[in-house]
Amino acid sequence: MAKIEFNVKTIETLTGLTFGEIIPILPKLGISLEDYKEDQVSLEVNPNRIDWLSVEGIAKSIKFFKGIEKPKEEKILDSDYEVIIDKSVKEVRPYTVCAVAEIKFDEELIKSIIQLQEKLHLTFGRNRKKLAIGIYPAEKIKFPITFFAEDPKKVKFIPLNETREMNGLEILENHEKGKEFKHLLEGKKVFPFFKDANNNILSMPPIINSELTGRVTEETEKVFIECSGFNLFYLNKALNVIVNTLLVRGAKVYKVKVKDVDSIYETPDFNWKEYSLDKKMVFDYLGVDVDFKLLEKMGYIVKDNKILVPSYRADIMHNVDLIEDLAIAFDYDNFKIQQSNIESIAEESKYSKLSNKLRELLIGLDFFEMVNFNVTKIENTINPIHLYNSVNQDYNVLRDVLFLPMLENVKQNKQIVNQRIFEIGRTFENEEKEKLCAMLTNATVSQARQILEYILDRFNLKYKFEEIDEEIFIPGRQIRVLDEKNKEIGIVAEIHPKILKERSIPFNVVFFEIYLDCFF
Amino acid sequence: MEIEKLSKIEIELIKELLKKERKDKYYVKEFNKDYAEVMRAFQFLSNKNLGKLSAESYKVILLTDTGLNAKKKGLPEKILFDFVKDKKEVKVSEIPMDNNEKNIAIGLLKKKGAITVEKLNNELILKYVKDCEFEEEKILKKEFPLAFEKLTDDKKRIIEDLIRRKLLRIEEKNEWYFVPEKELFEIKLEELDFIEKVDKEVIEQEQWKTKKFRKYDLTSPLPKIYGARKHFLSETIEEIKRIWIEMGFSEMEGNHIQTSFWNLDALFVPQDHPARGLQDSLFVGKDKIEKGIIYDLELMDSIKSVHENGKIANSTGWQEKWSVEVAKELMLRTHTTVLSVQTLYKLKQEKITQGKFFAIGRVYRNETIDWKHLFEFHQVEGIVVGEVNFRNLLYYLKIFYKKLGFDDVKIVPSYYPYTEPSADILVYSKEKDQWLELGGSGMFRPEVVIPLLGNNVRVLAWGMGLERIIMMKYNLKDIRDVYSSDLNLLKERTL
Repeated sequence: MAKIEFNVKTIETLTGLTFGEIIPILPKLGISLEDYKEDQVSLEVNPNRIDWLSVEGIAKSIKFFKGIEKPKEEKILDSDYEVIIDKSVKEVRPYTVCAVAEIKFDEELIKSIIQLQEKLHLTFGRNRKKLAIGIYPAEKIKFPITFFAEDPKKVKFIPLNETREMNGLEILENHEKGKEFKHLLEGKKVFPFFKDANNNILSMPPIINSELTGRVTEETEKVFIECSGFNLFYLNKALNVIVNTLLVRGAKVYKVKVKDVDSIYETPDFNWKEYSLDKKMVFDYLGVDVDFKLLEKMGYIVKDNKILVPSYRADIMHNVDLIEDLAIAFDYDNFKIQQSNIESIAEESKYSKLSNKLRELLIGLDFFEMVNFNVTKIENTINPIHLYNSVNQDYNVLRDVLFLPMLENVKQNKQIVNQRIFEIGRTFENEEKEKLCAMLTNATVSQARQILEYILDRFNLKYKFEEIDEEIFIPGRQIRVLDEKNKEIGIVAEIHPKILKERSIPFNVVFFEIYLDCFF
Repeated sequence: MEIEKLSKIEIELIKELLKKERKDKYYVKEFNKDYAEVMRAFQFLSNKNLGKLSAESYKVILLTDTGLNAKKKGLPEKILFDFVKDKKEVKVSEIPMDNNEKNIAIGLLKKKGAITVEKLNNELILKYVKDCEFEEEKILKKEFPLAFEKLTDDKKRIIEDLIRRKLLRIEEKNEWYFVPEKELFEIKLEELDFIEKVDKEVIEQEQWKTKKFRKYDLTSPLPKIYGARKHFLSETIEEIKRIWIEMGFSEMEGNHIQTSFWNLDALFVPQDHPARGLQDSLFVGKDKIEKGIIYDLELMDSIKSVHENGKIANSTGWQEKWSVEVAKELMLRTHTTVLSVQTLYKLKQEKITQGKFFAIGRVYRNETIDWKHLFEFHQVEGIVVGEVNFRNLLYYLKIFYKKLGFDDVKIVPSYYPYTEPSADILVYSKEKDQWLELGGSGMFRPEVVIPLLGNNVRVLAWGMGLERIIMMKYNLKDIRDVYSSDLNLLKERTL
């Protein structure tokens, strides 16, 4: 989810609607109104709709949805602008796509473009790992632009918000953005740079623009936009979203010829993609025949059964994406319920059924049920599986027995001298196992065994006992329980007082712990 | 005043009182029962105006710890006296006593005239003179506590001395007594012969024909009792399982530790998705992330291909390289949807083409635990596989949420990486008088279904977090309370 903020007057001007008329449309599109205070609107948009990371993109969709405008092809104009990708950059940052746009920038548009750029970087660009966008006032730049890579020590420029020149390495060490995104260029022998025909450095992606050419102001009337990274599939999508935003504002957008090492291509690729939608598929999915023409409300151009998808729709991967838009255009509220005829016989899992029976038996003996976490602290385990990256530092292992975490339950209730508690839960050893542990305080270990026998007898299980000798239990007060085939059912024991002292438990504790498997 | 309504202890006490010699004042200690119980019974009788319970105060003398010590070992002045008498003459410095005690003892002995104190060569010398009385010792040898008033005046003086010396202390005590009203003595002993417990004798002898039952006071407060209970989390899980079973859904189960392959890749979540990162998901391993095994290599190829170019599913795919090493990483499942995809896989193995399945299970996120967030919680999830459509999804949702207690439900467009179309579910809460989001739903994408089932079978799915429902139902403010082990809370909770 991404949060987009703008002035309410902007969206009213762009759509020609009052915000009161806009509000009911938002949830129909899947947009959430988070806040609206003193003319400032805050919306939350889904991460797949990157064209909604700007108020312009949202306004365009609202106009289509309301039928105020019909989707049409928008012209990208021819030009002489050129960007050269030098082979030096291929190993470190292989691709860039570019555009030039003529538009008068005002304060609102600048805010909108900056927000769009930031959000694209953060979400779609995976915090700049996947791509980075540069927007430059074209008046300060001389074409052709070259995208190259060089030893960072050898390239100096004044980065944005600084007053003195720094080389590439110094920027990583000393500049705010350099420090934040250091990990993206660290260790590379050469760093990527954009320079213009006058050999002025425009930027060092994905880190920072230069102070001289990098700042768009209200004086700017033409901008050069580039999006650089590793995968043209994503770079084109991001660029198209920016171009779309500017087109909504009435910009004239020009193609740029990108001269790569082995090929030449023109960007932005603003062509519509053709999908064909099958009536049967739509009916199978939605349960109703929906007129494809409705897709015009969602920004598509519909030509018979062919659907043209606009290039700013980064989320369209399959026909089902169109089918969802068709359903949205039809309005989810208009779908009538249809009874389903999938026949099935229901079944609870065998562990669920068994757990219920065990629960019943133990509650009948006045034991209270406990529910504890599987993720626990190491002192509550014997030899556990570790969690590599738990942000809760103490909780970084998976429990391998039930009885040790249950001692925390005992301690929590230590003002009650006679406790009877049980838990049916999962433990993580070599395999994941469901177990039952019943625990008594101020009681004898014989009592614990009696209760275990009561339970095993109700299931007609045959069992035998053998003495064990574990340090955490009292010597001579611990046994293992085995079935007829000598497989372990579980243990019955009295906790050693040294453990009780560690945990400040002022009375004795006895328990049994068994595997649920033994009942099958 | 109905005699039958007297409590058992009151009746017993009255019986005993009537058997005693009649007098004005009866001390509580006279009665052969627990002092506190007798007092309580007299208090009840007082409340019923059958007499008055009062106390007289008296003083007692008790030994202090030092006093007890002196009683055992002897008073310091006696010890010193014996020492000096034995030696006839002794240097003060040579006396093996604590200086404080020594000086007090010397002073006392001097006063009694038992010794003299002289200075010789800058040394103090004690000389035995004559024997003397040690009344203080006699007092100490008595049985304590002593009743102060009963003592003679000179004994009182000695005791006051000993109190000053902090060997004894004085305490005020109360002696309780009861002054019965005339009315009490008008009760006849035979009237007090009630049927208490109905036992074999009472029944066989038909005693109710000749005796009255003692009446119990059943309208006054009684102590509360409790029985053991299921944990309310378990109980809620059972209730929701029942809803699924009523709708014909079978339970899915599986491991909590899964490979990323099943938890994420099979659900068409791209490998660079932020939710797969170390900040969001919990990975298994100590010094490095542990890896699992992907058994079905054909399936792995399908999933790799659908991620990289989507062709087998008629999709664009993610157009990024897919890494099997990333897929093998072991993690704690982040949703129960992993069980849904594993079920689809099983259906293919078993050549089953339709069915309805549910899961209620624990899932994990790498979240800092606080009053609103847990790192371990429960999800509820259901899928329907077969010839189903969007309108059927609405049908199932309406029934499911109605059984949960929400008559009004509506859906709005939403987004999940593995469903399309997707919808969020809003329910109307009567208490809060507003629509609340309670769950997500959708139809699985072909990129998910085709690698698992071979063709684009439609799968409806919906699910939600369980803790939110529990907090609403039991009015909890802190999500951690859902896992409470507080026995007082667990025993008190209502159904």
